[in-house]
Amino acid sequence: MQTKLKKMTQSSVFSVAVIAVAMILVMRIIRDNYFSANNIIALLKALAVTTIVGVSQMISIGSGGMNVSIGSTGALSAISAALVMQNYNVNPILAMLLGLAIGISCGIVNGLLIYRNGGVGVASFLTTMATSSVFTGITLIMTQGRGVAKVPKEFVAIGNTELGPIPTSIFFMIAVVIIFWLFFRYAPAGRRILAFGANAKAAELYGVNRFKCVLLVNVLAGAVAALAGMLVVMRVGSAQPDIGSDWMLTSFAVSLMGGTRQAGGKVNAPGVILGGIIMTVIANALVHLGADVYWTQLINGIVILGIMALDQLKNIKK
Amino acid sequence: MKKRLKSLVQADLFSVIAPIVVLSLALSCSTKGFLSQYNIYSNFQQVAIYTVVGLAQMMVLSLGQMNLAVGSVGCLSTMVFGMAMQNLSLPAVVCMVLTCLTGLILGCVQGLLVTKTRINPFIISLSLLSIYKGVALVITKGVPYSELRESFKALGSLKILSLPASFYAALVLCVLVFILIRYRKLGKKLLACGANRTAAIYSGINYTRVVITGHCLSGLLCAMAAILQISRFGSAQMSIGDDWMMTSFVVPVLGGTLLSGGKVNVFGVMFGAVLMTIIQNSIVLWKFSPHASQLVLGLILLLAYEVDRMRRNLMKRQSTSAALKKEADK
Repeated sequence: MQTKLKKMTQSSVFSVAVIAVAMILVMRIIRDNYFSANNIIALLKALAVTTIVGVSQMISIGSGGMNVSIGSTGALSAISAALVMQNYNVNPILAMLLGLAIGISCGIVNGLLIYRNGGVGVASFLTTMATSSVFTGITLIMTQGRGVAKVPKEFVAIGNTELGPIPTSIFFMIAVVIIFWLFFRYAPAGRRILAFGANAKAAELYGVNRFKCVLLVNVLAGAVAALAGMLVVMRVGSAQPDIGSDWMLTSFAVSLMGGTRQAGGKVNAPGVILGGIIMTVIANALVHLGADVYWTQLINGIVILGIMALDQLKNIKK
Repeated sequence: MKKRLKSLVQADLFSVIAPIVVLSLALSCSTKGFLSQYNIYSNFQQVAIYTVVGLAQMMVLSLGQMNLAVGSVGCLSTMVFGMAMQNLSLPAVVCMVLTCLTGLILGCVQGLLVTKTRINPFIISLSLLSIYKGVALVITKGVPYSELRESFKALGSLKILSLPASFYAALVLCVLVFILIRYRKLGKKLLACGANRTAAIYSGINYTRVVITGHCLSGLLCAMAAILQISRFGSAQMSIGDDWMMTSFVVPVLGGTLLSGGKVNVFGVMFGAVLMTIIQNSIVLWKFSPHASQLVLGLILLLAYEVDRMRRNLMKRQSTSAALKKEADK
């Protein structure tokens, strides 16, 4: 029991949790209305998107790669879903499925190209950087740079209904986290992806198929990114082509803070929620404290570098 | 004859020069604007900036690493330039030196973090991208510096033989970098570290120092690109560097630098920059939607990877055939 407790307190996720709780308490002391229903709802809505974005990146990092096209995949899916609803009055559920299908297609494109460029390591970064530009280009051409304002109420309601102080988008987040927690823990495909991420060559010698692995990872990451994009539309009520433009750093920060190993092979889906809480609370705190928007970028960068440094310090101590 | 043709096709720069020639011919036949003096002038201004940005990335690529923060280093250096000139009203030369120093220091920070901490270099670069940009935003609150000295603005529109002065500056930088890579010890060390880190360390190279130097040079070149961009705009703007990340990868790869490190082609960077500029110019001249340019940029990058792979395979084949020949000679 004691060793278990010791092990728990030494894990990096534990220190992230402590930081998260401390930040929330400090905010509560500074602002009396921090726990007001409005603020909690706003926090939870932002948390849902941030966490799902982090899960998408977690899948890629776990396989030993990375994906910088999450934002553009999310934007393309969300814009497509919004456009078919506005122009052809498509049923919201069907539109959502279409959005997911677009996300999966983006994932397939990414997977095929990453495999062609080598499959592991920097290949995934370089490839997704290029495809990200392509997806953004398609989004811009489809919308001519304008947002889609006429999003049906029924679609918005899917993620933006409040059950007491809990918005429905949180249930999507919980579902995604549980699915991927189970997937990486119990599903053979999930185990194969992690093995591939830990040591691609060894995994291949054990019979893991590189092509299937890379393709599956990117399809899953694309689908999750598409969901995140559509949740943003539900939250905001309109679809802007710049959805996801700031997801690159967020996605890495959230997933790495949550205990995903940088080099791949180890993921922690519930931990991603903790990372999400930290990023959301920081963003929310900057608004509450009346800081300039300019600070956001600087602080995000410092936070991720700081957390990574903390992680390394612990490794050295061991 | 056939053999000669084959070697020409296989030559490093063929894959970038051929599309340049074809595109320029097509553009000059189908549009009036392409060969106009103004268009040529502004294209060469763009070439100069792309070249220097490409060189900055090439320095780090030669180490087998990446610098995602090129744009942010450029942005922060721009802000230093603007402050030095507008708020402190220092002479132009001092401002330029200060800007270069800023770039050097920012690059040095990245090099130190990469070598001294064990954090993933990609994550370091990514967070510095955000931190540098954030610092620039916090310092200036996004307000551009537009009251620059007339003498500096004149430099931006200076013409020599109807080409912009910035192009000559880029050319000189290319030559300097070429000498550094080809004839100085440091260049060889950079390439050795990029080609095979372990082998480089075992042959007595101070890996840490070489990596830091590479990052410093990269930061310095970013700052120089920023100066060229300021002189083109005539004001020090926040947006400088926003679109450099993709460009910085496209340009050297088109010009024959291997992404995996260990092989660079300095003048290839300039040809890569020319190709990039002509493609972007063609989007404007052929009246495609301006929104298409992002799409095209991504497609070019994907194409550049194909070229990169072809080149790698070629190198592999050549080395195996050379080895086989040696065996046979024995």
